[in-house]
Amino acid sequence: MTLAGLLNYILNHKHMLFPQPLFQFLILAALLLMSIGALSLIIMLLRDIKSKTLW
Amino acid sequence: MQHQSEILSPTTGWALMAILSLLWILLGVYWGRKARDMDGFMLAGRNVGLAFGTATAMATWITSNTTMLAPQFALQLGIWGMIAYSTAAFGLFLFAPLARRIKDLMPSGYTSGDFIRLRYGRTTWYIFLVISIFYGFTWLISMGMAGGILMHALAGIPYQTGMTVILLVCVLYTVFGGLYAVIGTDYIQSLIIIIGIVVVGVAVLYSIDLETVYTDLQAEKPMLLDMLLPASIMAIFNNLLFGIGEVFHSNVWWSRAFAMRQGVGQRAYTLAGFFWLPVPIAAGFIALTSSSLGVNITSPDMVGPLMAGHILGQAGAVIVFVVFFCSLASSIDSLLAATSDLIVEDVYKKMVRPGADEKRTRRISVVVIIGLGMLAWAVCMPRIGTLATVLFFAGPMVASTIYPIVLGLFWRTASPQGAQWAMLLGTGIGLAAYFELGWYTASLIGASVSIMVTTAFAWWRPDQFDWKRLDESKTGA
Repeated sequence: MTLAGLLNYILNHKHMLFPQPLFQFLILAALLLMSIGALSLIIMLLRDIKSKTLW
Repeated sequence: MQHQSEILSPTTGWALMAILSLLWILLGVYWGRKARDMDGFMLAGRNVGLAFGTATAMATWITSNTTMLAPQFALQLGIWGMIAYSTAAFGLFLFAPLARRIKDLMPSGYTSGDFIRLRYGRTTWYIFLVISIFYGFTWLISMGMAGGILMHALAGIPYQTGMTVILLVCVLYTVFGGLYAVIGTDYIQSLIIIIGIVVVGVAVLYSIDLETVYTDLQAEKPMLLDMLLPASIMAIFNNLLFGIGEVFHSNVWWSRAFAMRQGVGQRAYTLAGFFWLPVPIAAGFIALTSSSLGVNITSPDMVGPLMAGHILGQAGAVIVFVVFFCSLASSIDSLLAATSDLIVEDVYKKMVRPGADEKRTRRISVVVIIGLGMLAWAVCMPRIGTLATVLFFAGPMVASTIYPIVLGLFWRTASPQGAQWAMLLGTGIGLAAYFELGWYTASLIGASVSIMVTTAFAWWRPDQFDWKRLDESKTGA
């Protein structure tokens, strides 16, 4: 698709909504990433304590 | 006055506040024993590891604004509103390589002001200090106000009392423990915040499926699902640049770059960015479920607490209270420490008393932290303005510092005149846009002016900076 084509598509779909799967993915991915974050912080802490590199 | 979002009894609120306050102060005193010299007090010994480094960058960036404004953004600007808020994570991502560069070029540096002074000279340094201290103080006031408003809204604790307690607690543990206490407590606070938001988010998902939420939104507020909502798209660029500006110029982040062990800074900031990125989305989507769950929202910035209380009852209310208290404390302590470092190192030691010894400097640091706390308290007492207006006003100012800092770290040709005019014109024109066009354009315009001016001067009147001048331990300056 050319840039002009893309622009034309956007202008013709001014009120295009976020597709439902994307909406769901966004929210589930956010919660998953946060859970991974919490777990990673705990693992990093244990590794730093073990290798005496906390401070 | 009964607030719509009062979800805890004052007795529970007082008990939670007392427990958390005591915990942070005791930890501050405990970790403070490690701060034997100024490197320890101001920079936690310059040897902070990956776990603490990542957590402190993330926790400091999760302010009460993240947990209050992200749902408000979602409710007013839709999906793009949440995404717009989460783009502030790019401040952390993009600061990661800078953190490495800063540590390499300035192994014995203390503040962002040190860099500006050594790189661009005194005039630019004065302008920068005005912007940076103003911003740090504005952020501190917005956090103090948020503390009072939240304690009142969540548990009916009077505004003045809640605000006083949160400021007092943060002042106490920062005075006792310096950056050791700030970083140590940040780790615990970041875990509490993440786990709290995930628990509330999962509880919402158990209460209602996302398909229903989507269908309800489509029927009642399709604008919130719109892929091309112009105000939201402007908000993305504004937030992105405001976020980058906030991180790049602020001594809060520079002091952490100096504090982290060699080789840790880049990884810590990158990981912090990844872990922060989903927070506004996770906190924001809860707001979008409000109409499906039949919750009537009259004050949009209280939508998060209301929803948590509605779904999880007292347990949810306790989680929200603790999450808010932690997000406030993790930012207030960092601001107190970093702003006082800037005042002590750049103003007191460089302008007032250059020969001050360690003992005296430490004493002055304590006085400045207490003074900042008291000043913030005095300004917060009358409860003026709203969180957003106070914070976004500083947007164009900080956005105008992005390019002088980035180009100053990587381009020899970036010149002092370019940096000065970039900050002055970026701030001036950005503020004009704030009043004439709207808050969501101010940072974008401030940053655009700043990049044009810095780049133009680097081409037309190039400097030939010697990087060795940034290492004061070698130049003996």
